[in-house]
Amino acid sequence: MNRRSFRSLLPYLLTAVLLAGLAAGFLLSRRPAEDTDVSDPAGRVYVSEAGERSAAEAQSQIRAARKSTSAGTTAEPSGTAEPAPTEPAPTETLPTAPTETAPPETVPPETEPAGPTAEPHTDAPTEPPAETTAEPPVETTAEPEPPTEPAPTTAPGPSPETVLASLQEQIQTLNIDLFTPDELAAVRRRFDTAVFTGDSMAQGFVSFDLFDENHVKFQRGASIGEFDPEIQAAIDTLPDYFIFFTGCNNVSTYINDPTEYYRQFVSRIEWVKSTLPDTEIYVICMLPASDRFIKYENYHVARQPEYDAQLKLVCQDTGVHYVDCHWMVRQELYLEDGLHFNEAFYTVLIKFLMLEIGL
Amino acid sequence: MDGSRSRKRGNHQYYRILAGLFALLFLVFFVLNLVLPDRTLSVREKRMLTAFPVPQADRVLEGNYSNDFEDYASDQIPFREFFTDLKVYADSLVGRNESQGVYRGSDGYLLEKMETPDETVVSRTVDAMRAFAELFPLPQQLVLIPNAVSVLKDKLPLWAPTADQEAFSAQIAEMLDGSGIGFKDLQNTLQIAGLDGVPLYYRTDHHWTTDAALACAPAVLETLGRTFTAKGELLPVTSQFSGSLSAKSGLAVRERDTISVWQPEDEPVILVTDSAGKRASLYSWDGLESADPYTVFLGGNEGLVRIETDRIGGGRLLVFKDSYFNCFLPFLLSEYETVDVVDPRYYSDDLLMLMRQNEYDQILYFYNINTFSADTSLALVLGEAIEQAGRK
Repeated sequence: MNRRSFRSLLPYLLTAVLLAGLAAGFLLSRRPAEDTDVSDPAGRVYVSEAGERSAAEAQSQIRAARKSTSAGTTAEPSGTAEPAPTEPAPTETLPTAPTETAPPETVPPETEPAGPTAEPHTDAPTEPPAETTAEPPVETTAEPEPPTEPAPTTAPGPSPETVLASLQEQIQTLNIDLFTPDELAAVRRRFDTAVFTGDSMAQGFVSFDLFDENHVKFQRGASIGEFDPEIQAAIDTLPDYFIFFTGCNNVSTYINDPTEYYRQFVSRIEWVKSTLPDTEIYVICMLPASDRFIKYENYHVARQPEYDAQLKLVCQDTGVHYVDCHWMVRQELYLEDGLHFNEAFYTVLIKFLMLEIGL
Repeated sequence: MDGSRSRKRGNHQYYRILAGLFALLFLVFFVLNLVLPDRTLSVREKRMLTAFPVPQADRVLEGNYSNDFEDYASDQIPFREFFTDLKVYADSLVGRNESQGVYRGSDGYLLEKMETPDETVVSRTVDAMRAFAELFPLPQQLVLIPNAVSVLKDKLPLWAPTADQEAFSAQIAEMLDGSGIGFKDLQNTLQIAGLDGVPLYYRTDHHWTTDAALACAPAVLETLGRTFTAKGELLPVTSQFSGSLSAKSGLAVRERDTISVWQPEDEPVILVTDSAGKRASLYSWDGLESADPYTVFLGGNEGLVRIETDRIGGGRLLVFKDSYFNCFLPFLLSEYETVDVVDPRYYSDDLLMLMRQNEYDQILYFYNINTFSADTSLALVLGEAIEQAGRK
């Protein structure tokens, strides 16, 4: 090879060497990650076996543990330890209430009935914690547990009858006390293991910020056959109290066929009963639309009493609680749409439910 | 004379070939682009790739269509991963060791840079915490976890500029003085654990490891007035974890980390409640398969998660936290009856109501320094509750 031809080859050689060097470096930099395989499946199986417990099992174990310690600490005879899940229908006429509704904050109408906590009520900021801690025995807290009361004999709270009378009077006079933030906090704690499901009637609880969406699963405008996903979501919260609240959508959907309405409702209740055997089911009655609405908007809705009668039958036949609150209906308590109710109505409804359920 | 002419001729040939190859590249890639099907997802970058932009009159007229098309072309170029690797390699050849605020450290570690904290942001947060402590005078602690950039300083590139986390946490300690909020900085604890050979941080992710969390559990529980007595072991659940730092920077895309979870011997019964419902496990095994395997802990970040245990009488703890807490949570569960975990970034409910509904015994703020120094959501959430309480 002579000098000249070598010279003419030089650029190619240099390029080739450079490229080869870069490529080698690049390939080295891309070496596959060393595979320190940790046998994922093995590890995972082991862990998940330990945690294979279902949520329902975990919940009942935790509640049982809580119950046993709280029964121990409060020296409760604990005969009443589990009244809610076992007892059948009769709660409706509230004979069981006297034993259960005693803790002071169940009866908010008489603003702050709790004797010991009543005094330091003027300065706002540092207040709430002091007050909330004062309420139930220290650690039962979020549970609406019945055994919190050796109270029927001591009389800090008014009896259910007086509470009911006071509610009725508030409805009569339309002079309704809304919840104070502290009362609402106490109420929410009581309803912590309850869930509402239904249509826009149930939505009212959320709209007025009375309960959050974890406790109210609703589908606007749905009739009973149309909100199964919400019922499922409500079931998934593993509630102690399952409360249906539906309205006149059903009249329009099952127009001329109240028995279909009956069948649909029964099947939903059977569903809840079979998946949550220990849960108490309550059905709030179907409330009428306002006179104005029936007259000017949708006369079909005038047939609401027929459907409500079916609903009552549903409850009788399935053995769940029917909550009759027709006595709360006043034309003044409707919202502008003439179909839904205002915050005052819901406030009374919640207080009434606490009496009915015995929270 | 003669020689120079021939050299010229030779060079001409060289340039000609070079230019020809260059033109050929364009042609080949153009054809390949047409022929190869578009991809939608880049697993490595953890994002969706741009789809073909259908020409629309307004986009074209506004001059945006060419941008759209450019995004599309660069996302769908054939051998995309090869070329990104090539770019990273080329960067490393010229000595670039930082990308998107992430340093390439030694031993395969990526370290996220700490930006100089904004004083007003930090003092807003601390002020809100102080005011909240006045409103709810419960025992409360702030635990700050320094990041890799501080604990693994020795792995940083030489003279890499970054803010000083130790100075920052000293400053926070000072600001909290007299507020009734206890303060714990885990820098020393972590450094000591590091000397014992505990892997403290993922190499490709900004989180700390479960090993590091375990090493800190005794110190954290001590600041909470408890003792960490639980025994157990760490079980690796995946060795194929490629974290967010690598996705963000494009560095070390081939590194893989191992995620472990804590398996206590005497495991408490737990019930986890969040927006998705109730379950009996802290871990989301689906999360392990997802684009971000760190979500195996708690299923990612939720506004509010409640964990109840069968440790009745253990007390009720409220935690404000960032994602560093997710792998730490298991170490608390043997000691508490209820732990409510609030991530202010995702929490939109009524905190004041939450406080009233639940009688917490203790409050814990649990943050890594990078997040805490830049976070605005904690101040917002606390501030809202304080304001609301004042209004009443």
